Amino acid sequence: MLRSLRSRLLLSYVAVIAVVVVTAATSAALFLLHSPLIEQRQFIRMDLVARVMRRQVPAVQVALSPLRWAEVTTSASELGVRVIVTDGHGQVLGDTASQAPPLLPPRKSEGKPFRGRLRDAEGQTWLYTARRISGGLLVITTPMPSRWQWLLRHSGDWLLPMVEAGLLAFGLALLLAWWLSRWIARPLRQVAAAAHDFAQGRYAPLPEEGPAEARTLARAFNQMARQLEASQKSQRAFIANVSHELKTPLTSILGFAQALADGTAPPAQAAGIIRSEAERMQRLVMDLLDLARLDAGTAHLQQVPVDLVPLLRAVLTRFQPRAAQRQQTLHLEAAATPTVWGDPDRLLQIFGNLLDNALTHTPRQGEVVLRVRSEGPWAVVEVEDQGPGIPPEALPHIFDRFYRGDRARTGREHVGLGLSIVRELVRAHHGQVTAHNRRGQGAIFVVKLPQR
Amino acid sequence: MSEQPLVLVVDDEPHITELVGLYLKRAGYRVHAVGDGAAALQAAASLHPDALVLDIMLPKLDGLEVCRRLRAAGDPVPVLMLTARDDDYDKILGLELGADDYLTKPFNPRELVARVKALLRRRDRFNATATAHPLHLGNTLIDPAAREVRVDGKTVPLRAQEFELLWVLAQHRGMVLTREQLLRLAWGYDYVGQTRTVDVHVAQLRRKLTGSDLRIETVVGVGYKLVF
Repeated sequence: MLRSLRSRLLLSYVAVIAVVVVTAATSAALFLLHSPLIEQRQFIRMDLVARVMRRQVPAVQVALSPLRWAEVTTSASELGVRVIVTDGHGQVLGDTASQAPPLLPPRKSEGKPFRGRLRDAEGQTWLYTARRISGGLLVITTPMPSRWQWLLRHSGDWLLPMVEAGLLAFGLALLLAWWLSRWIARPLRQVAAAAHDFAQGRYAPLPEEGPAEARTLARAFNQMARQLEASQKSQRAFIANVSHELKTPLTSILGFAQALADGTAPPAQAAGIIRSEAERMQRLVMDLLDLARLDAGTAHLQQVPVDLVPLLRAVLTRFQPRAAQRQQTLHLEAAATPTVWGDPDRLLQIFGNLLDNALTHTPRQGEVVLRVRSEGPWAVVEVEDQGPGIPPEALPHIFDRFYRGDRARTGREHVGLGLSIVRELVRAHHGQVTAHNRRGQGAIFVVKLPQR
Repeated sequence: MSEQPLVLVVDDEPHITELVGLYLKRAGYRVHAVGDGAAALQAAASLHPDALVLDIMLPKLDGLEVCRRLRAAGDPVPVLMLTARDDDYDKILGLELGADDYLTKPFNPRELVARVKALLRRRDRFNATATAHPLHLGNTLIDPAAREVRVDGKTVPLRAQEFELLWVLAQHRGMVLTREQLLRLAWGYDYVGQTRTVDVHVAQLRRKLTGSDLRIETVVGVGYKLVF
């Protein structure tokens, strides 16, 4: 029953209401126990009796005449009082309860009627009210009731309405509590329903309304849902791109294999194309594996000191033949000779990919410049090309997987993973890579790596 | 000497245009290849090709846009689209772009040639059905002369290939036709490889024939049949 927040809320309200009702009943009982009301009631009754009796027995002599005394005794027992007649000096002349332990009434010869309490020999407390009559005192007494007994005897008078009021309040409070718990738990239930829908693939943003906490929750939920959706979308786009990039060379490979078999294409040409397309697929697969390992954090990078300048010279040497094919020139300008911690093969891959990208975008007879310098704790390498630059709308996406601003601009062998790998590798080396456009023409890629 | 039909091949992958070109030339066509969408529109306007083989992912202007603009300009040239993505089917046929057929990469080059052939033959086949008598099936009228379908007297707008498919199904009503048979009969292919195009066209027909007494039933593992 306590599994749901609603039932817990309801139960806590019920508990609070029960505590309030019990407290109210207890304090009412305590108030009654300590109130002078009980005695006052008793005195009022005794005063009434006294007034009537005094008319019946205006003098001690009258009271003590046997006939009258019998009348007095009868009235006293009927009215539930004990009547004592004294001489005014403490001498008891008559007592309607002669069997009871004797009571010594107060002595007072003059003045107004008076009242008080007395204690008999057995310790029982009596209330009394006394009036002067001719020749003495008329004293009306009643035993002082125990307050508990009194409360119990009169419980019907107060307990029942109390219980009735309590039950009514309880019922109303339960209703209120039920409504309140629903009201409070509703935003939670809405979030739960939305989360369930989202899991089923239906996403509708939650309204950001209600109490502050619910709004915060709704906002957080919406944000999470949006991010998840975006990531699912990019995942789908990634898979579509991978499938496209694999199917394109596959078409050529299968097609030219067929052409080879049925003699449609000259064998040397078909074999050459099959080989180059297979190599393209292999590069793509290697790139995908690299990215997957970097994403999963299972790409084990060495941590050795690497001198950047010799490393960059090695990269340049590797790309020299390719640059020569299009009469492009490669330059290295070293303003410093920084050393970084890292994996030499991976660093070669970073600058190789950047150089590949730069050569692809630089026109024939153009120039690509590599610059090395030291900037505080950073070793900075810039790769500058003479291409058309990066369109402003493409700049934020240039390192995204399979992104290519305009496919006409890039070489066809370029599948859009090289720069993503650069970014992941630089990150794995605790560095940063950024891309900018040069003022004149061309783009510039800046890699910052922490110096040793 | 009568001119060989000219096929314009548009793809930014030189090896693929090369491959397609080799096979089309061997089948007796002249081939002109271009590498982007803008060049394709120019070539279509200046060379008046008899058919177009058009890749979707193109620089400058994608294949879908090229097709849309050709049709907007009133060019009826048959278009065979090439796509590497499965989810392009609906874009090609569902959006009423006006493409006539498509193949997904990787495709068999012989199948591509068969489809180009079928596209070029199509006009002749349409002329053949034009002499047939109209068919009344329940509340539906199929009129091959007017190439028109009416349900309760209201014309249902069908594309040429959709009409062709319905006509073949209607003539063989009650019989199950396999996808391969349908490709031969309704598309005129003499080489059958990819059959997904049949499913897409059937789905379109079902959608357009809502309210008709005709129903195209799927016979699982075999093909389709028309009942009413």
